[in-house]
Amino acid sequence: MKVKSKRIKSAVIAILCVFALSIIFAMPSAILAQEEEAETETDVPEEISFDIPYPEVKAKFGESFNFKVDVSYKGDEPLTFDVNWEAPEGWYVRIKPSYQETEISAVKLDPGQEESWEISAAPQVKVEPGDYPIKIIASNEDIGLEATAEITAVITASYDMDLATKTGRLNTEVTSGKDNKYTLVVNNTGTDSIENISLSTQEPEGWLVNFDNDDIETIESGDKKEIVATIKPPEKTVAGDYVLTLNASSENAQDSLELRVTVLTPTIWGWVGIGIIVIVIVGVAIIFARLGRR
Amino acid sequence: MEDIIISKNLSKNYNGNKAVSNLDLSIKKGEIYGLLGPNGAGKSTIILMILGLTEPSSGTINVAGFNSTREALKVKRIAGYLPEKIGFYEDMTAEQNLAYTAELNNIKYSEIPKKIEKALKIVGLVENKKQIVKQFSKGMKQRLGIADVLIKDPELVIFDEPTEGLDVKVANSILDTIIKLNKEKGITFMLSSHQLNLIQKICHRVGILSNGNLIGEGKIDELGRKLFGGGRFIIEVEISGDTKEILNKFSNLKDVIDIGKEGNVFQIICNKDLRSEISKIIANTESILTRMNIKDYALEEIYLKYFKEE
Amino acid sequence: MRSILTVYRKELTDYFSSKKFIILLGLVYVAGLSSVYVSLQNIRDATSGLDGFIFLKLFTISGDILPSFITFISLFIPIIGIIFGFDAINSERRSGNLSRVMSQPIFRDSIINGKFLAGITTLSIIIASIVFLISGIGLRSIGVPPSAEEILRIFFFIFICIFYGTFWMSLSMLFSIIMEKTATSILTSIAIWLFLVIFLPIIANAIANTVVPLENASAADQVKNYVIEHNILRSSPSTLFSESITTLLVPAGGHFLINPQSFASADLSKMLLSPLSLGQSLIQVWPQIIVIIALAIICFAVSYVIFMRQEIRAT
Repeated sequence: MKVKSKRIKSAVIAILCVFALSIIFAMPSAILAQEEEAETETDVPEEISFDIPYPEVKAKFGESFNFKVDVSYKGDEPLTFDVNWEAPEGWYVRIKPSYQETEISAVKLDPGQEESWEISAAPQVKVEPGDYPIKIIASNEDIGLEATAEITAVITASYDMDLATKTGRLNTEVTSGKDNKYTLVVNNTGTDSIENISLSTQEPEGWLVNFDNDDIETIESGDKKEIVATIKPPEKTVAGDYVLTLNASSENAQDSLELRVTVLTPTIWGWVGIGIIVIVIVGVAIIFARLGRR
Repeated sequence: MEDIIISKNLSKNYNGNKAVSNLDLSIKKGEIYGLLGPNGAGKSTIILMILGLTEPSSGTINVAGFNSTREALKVKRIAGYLPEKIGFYEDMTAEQNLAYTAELNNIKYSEIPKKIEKALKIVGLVENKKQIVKQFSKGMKQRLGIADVLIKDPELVIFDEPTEGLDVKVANSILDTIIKLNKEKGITFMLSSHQLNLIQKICHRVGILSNGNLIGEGKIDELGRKLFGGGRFIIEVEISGDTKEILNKFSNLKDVIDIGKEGNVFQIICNKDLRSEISKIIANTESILTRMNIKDYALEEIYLKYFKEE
Repeated sequence: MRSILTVYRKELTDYFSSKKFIILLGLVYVAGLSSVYVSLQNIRDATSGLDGFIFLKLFTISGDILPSFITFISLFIPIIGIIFGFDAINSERRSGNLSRVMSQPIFRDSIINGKFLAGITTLSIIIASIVFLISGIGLRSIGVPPSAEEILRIFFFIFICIFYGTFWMSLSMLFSIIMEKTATSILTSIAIWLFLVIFLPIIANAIANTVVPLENASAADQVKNYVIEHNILRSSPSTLFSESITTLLVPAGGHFLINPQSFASADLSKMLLSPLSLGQSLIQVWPQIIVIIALAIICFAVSYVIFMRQEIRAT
């Protein structure tokens, strides 16, 4: 048994050695063969070109615009190209090979090589909605080769609204049966003015909630408006915490706010309650004192 | 003297049984009257009828001129009653118990403390005024009972079994109090009892009750005389020797009413204390006097005599 | 007249000095306050806002573990009544106080009248004080004042409670007159109470199921079964009591409890569960209220007559 396995082992090792040696000797000849092939190719005119599947990208202000660019180069020998961009003022454009984080300013391309880039553009300052053309230029000044790609970032208007309370607190205390004023703030955080904002509420049954201005005509972008809400819980509201949902909505934007409303016992009834308790206790105590022995 | 309790033809039936039948009773103002009889003789029924607490089946009863049945309230205003098993509110003090009685007697609030003080002084319980009755002994409760009836300044006090369950010393102090009240305040007492030896000492008159009938009434000595043929004394003489001769000689004595003989013992009933005469007679014979004693009529004997005859 | 007042005052003093009264009062307070605590926990979920009788809910809402105040009070009132009455006369008789007091210049009925009035007064103090205490706590906590109608309903509730308690008190007082031993009179009263509260429902259920078996029963038969059971239960004052207080304190729907027939036959889809007016609520349970009052009066009258005819013998 032992003798037999030894023999198999040595056989396997021998075969592996032969195999390895054959690879070592065969490699150089393969590489050489390739080189020979390239040299033998005829002159091809150098050409670099961009292919942009989606040359126009829409986004809101504040977001970045991402483009995909495929670069292909045809020629005899590898060439290095400078990569530049031109964009309206205030914009910054980053060019990166796909799936990499490095921003590039030059690229070396082999003949026939195709590469894909990711271009992201973002305005660094506040800009109006509109079309912003961006040019991507790859050039080699030595042989005067240049390719230009035109892409357009279209900034669309954004409609954003923020409903908040003036104090920033999301709870308030109210008295039942009374008008309780509470100031809300509608903030236009979008890039365009918002029109026809209507306010509505989801209130507990029987509650009355009114706004001094429940139909706001317009709020300019970045502007805000204060609204006074009048909250009136019905006379017979059990004291405690209630949730009041306030909605501001327009055609383009909407926001809502959950307000925790604590209904307080009207002080008068609180005192009457305590009064009754005291009267009962004192009354029973007096009865005991008057009627009990010792 | 004027009668304070007068009953005429008084009868009471319970379920067809006569508890009291055709009773004519009269108790004079200022006397201590003893109503005697065994349990079930009808004493309590009579008392309840006197106080208007039970209606008679027939006949009338008047207390100080008020009809007990129709004017019970007026009767109860002047008559105090100490039931046989007197009870007080155990969780209340002596004072509180008496105050309750006083209020029930319609006594002015301002006078109540004074009355309580006075009543407690008479029975000697002033010290125990603030004590709860639960802590009282039987005798103390009985004395508190007397104070309780005194609150209303009664003309008549009906005392059911005044000495029942008390030891002799305590019973005597109760009886002393009764005599004192009778003498000092002129309160008429009607005592009901079956304990004769204690009662007889203080009663001016007794009535003997048996099965609802008054079978004897009067002063104790009168009762005895009536019963034993008028004699007042019983002299028991025991001699040794010939008795025949002596018997003849005794019979010749004046004031002798009856002579009984049992063996060597003579029982001589007479109107006078004949002891010296008797000893002289015996000395003149050959017989020897071995024992001689004299008895006043004891209520007990009267009583026993009655019920022997029943 | 003064004698009744004297007995009355003395009896009141007895109540307010006795341990049994203080224990009862404590029990009622603990039960009442825990039930109001529970109802305050649940009152907001139960408040629809529309029905309006928020204040009454303080008394009717139960929690997961603890029952509502009206459940507590229906349990306690008979106990209080029995404890107040069971030894009224026989303990006085046994202690020898009765004959001593009766020999005072008072009418015999002063004693029973005074005791009876003192019992009612004490009962009223217990019930009214706990109801007002709950109202005060409720007012303080929920901040909703009761409407005039709610106040009226609460007063009617107190009124019915007092009469119901009076019934039990007169019943046990009757036994205290008839029976010599206090142990017998309290056991008899409690036996009657247990019978009415525990055994009668079982018996009623059994009879109803025998007459109209529930197995595979049609809807009409189920209603019939329920009606039979309900009519048997009506012979118990405790049923009458719970019917009347539920109708009074639950204006919306409480009266369905007492009219199962109408409940079953009515087209429920067209019925609105809206509250009845106070007058309507009262009319619904008027017979029940009258029977409770009548029972109380009858028990007292029988006690009175027997007491007046009874012998006063000390032994």
